[in-house]
Amino acid sequence: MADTFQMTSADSPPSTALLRLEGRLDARNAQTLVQECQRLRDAGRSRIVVNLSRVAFVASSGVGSLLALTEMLNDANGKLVLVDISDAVRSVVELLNLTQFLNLQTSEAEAFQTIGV
Amino acid sequence: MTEKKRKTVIGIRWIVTGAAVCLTALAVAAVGAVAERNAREALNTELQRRVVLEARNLALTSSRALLSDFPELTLAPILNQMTEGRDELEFAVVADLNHVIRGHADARRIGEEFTRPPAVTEVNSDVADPRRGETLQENASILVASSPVLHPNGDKLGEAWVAIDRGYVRQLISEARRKQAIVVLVVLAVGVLFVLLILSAILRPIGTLRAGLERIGSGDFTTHVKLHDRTEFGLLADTINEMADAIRDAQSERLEKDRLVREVELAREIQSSLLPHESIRAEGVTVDGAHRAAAEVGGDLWDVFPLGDGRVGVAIADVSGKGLGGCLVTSMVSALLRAFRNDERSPARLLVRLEESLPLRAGTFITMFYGIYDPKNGSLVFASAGHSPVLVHRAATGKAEWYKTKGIPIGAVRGGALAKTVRDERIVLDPGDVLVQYTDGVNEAFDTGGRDQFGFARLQDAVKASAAKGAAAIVNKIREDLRAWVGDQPPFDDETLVVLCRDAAAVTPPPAPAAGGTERRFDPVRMVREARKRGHGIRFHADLDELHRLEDWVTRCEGLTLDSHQATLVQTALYELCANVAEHGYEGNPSRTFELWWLECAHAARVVQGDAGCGAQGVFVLVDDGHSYDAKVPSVNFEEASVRRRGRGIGLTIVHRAMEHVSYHPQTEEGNVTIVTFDPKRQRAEEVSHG
Repeated sequence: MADTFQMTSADSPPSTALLRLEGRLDARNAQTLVQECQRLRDAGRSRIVVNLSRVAFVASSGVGSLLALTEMLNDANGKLVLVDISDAVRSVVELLNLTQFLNLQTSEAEAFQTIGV
Repeated sequence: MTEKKRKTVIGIRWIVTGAAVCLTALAVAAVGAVAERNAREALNTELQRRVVLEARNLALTSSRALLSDFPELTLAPILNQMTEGRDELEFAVVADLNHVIRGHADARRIGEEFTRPPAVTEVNSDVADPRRGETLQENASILVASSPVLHPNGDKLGEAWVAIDRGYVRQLISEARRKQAIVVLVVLAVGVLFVLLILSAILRPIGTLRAGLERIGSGDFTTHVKLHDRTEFGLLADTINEMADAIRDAQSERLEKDRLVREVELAREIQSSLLPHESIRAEGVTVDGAHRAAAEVGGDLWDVFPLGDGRVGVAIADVSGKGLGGCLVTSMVSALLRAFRNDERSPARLLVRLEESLPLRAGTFITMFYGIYDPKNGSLVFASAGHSPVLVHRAATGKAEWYKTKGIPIGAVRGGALAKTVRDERIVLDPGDVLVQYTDGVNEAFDTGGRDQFGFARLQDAVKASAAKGAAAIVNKIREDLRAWVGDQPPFDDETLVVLCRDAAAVTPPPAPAAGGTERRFDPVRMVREARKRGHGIRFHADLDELHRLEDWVTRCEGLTLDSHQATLVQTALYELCANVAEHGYEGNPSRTFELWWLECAHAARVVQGDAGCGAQGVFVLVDDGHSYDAKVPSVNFEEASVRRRGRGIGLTIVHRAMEHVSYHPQTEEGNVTIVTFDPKRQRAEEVSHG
């Protein structure tokens, strides 16, 4: 459904995390993502890979949360890597000229490489 | 007992007794008639039997006598004995075969020839035995029987005749009838007496009931009818008592109501005395107003007063409650306004001080406008606590402007919320400009059919039509239009108006035409109306969860052809605009709604002003009536880490980058209107430059 949002976490090496998002990343769901990442960071898993291949829509709050999480994890000596962003996310990210401020990778394997696993 | 002018009364007991007597008499008469008829028949039969038996007896006793030599001597004592003391016997005769009388009670008749009584006929009866030669005959006056006197050898010697007077029967019957009548009369008399006594006992409560009703009729509802009666009269007494109680309650209620009406009348007078009764003229400005109270005493107030230095204060307020409570609050507001106005130069602070000083109950709130006009520069500094938008009619352009503010009503939210939202605003009035403030009883007045409200457009038209004629004329024109709108019905809410006119300059300089008309590409009001007529629209509640419907809606906009990338941009930009309205305009209150329209170029071009096009394909029009918000695009520089860390305030940046044209028109007649257009070509160009 167009208005659903799902976040599943998959197995990943220690001190990392892998989240796969699906659906609409708007204000409400962005908050869920932020809280989950804060929880992972506090649990010592501050290198987080987020798969956005199935995100159909992203609102400004969604983009904002991706920016903020990137900075937050940087501050915690971690990293946020976005994998395989969907066309919908790409359109907005490029509209705002934000590619330079986000870590974008094409596959989960590449993503784990960039965070040194 | 009050016997005055009472009609002749026919007593129930006499009616019932009379009826009982008549019925009893009729019954007795009927029974008597039947009984008499039976008795008469029985008597007649008995008489016939008797007369035949007497004749037979006489014949038997006469047999031996007739054989003797002097039968007369033997028969005379027999007949004398037989007839003595018996008046009913007409005659008793013994005659020989030659019909010569041989025995008779009257000795002088002996020897005479016996002749049968005249006009006798045989009686049809089996009492006489014709085989023995007996006869039984009658005429009108007698019953006569004969029996043959026989020799022991069976030869007939003569005949014995006995006749009885029929009058004897009649006499017997009339005697019986007389006795019966006496008994009936005695029984009737006793019955009448008995019925009268019973009825008197039964009907006695009527007197008590009547006395009770007369008391109630004379206005005494406190004493009850005391009646210990187990008949229907007891029930009637209870009903009368309940009725008296009900009347007493209703009467005291009415008295209470009358008292309240008088007090409300008084309150209305007091309230009316608080309002200005004539227009006020100060340096270069005239202020006039009007107030029309609803049927109930209401909570509207307006006031205008000089403040020194030529300044003029103008106030208008609407207290949420009606009735005496509302009236009291209104009076307090009026008094506090008088107390504060001379030393408070900031209208916003004055409103806050009012809230601090008013002992408002929860649920009571006041919308209020207060402004201070300064003739030196023609400025009006005002603050509005949730009051209706301010209408300013500009003389130079003939256009109306509406000013909405963010102030919440006094008393609506406790804890200093008013101080945070209300602030001093400033409007500069040029010569001839008119400022109108009013309570919602004006714009919300329903037409005669109760369907449509007077609304802001009609108010604006009324002001425009009379703007040049001065404050009093404007007030009158609005009131006239309002009267024409609502017809004869009484106002459902107070209608209060205040009009401030800056005097026209002696020589009015022609207004300088606005250069370029940069911000006037679209007339938002006309655009909204056109969109509602010909556009493709969708309505959202102020709920982010509803906004996903945008995606589907965009694909159904006729004349809008986008590839998937463009569709993403359009959807995201529209989402941001809608989310802004829902979150900021309506503070996330999901019961509020707003509209989004798509109007194709073919239609939109009709209402586009100036030389700019209507966008490549058409325009999107967003209409809401929430708080207006700051539409200025914040400068977001993503180079700065702090900006990225905050991660907010990107929405409007998306809108402006994605769309070709964005214009925001707060507080128009149709509400806040946002107009955006999308140009696929330009978007491509930008992508290239960004790429």
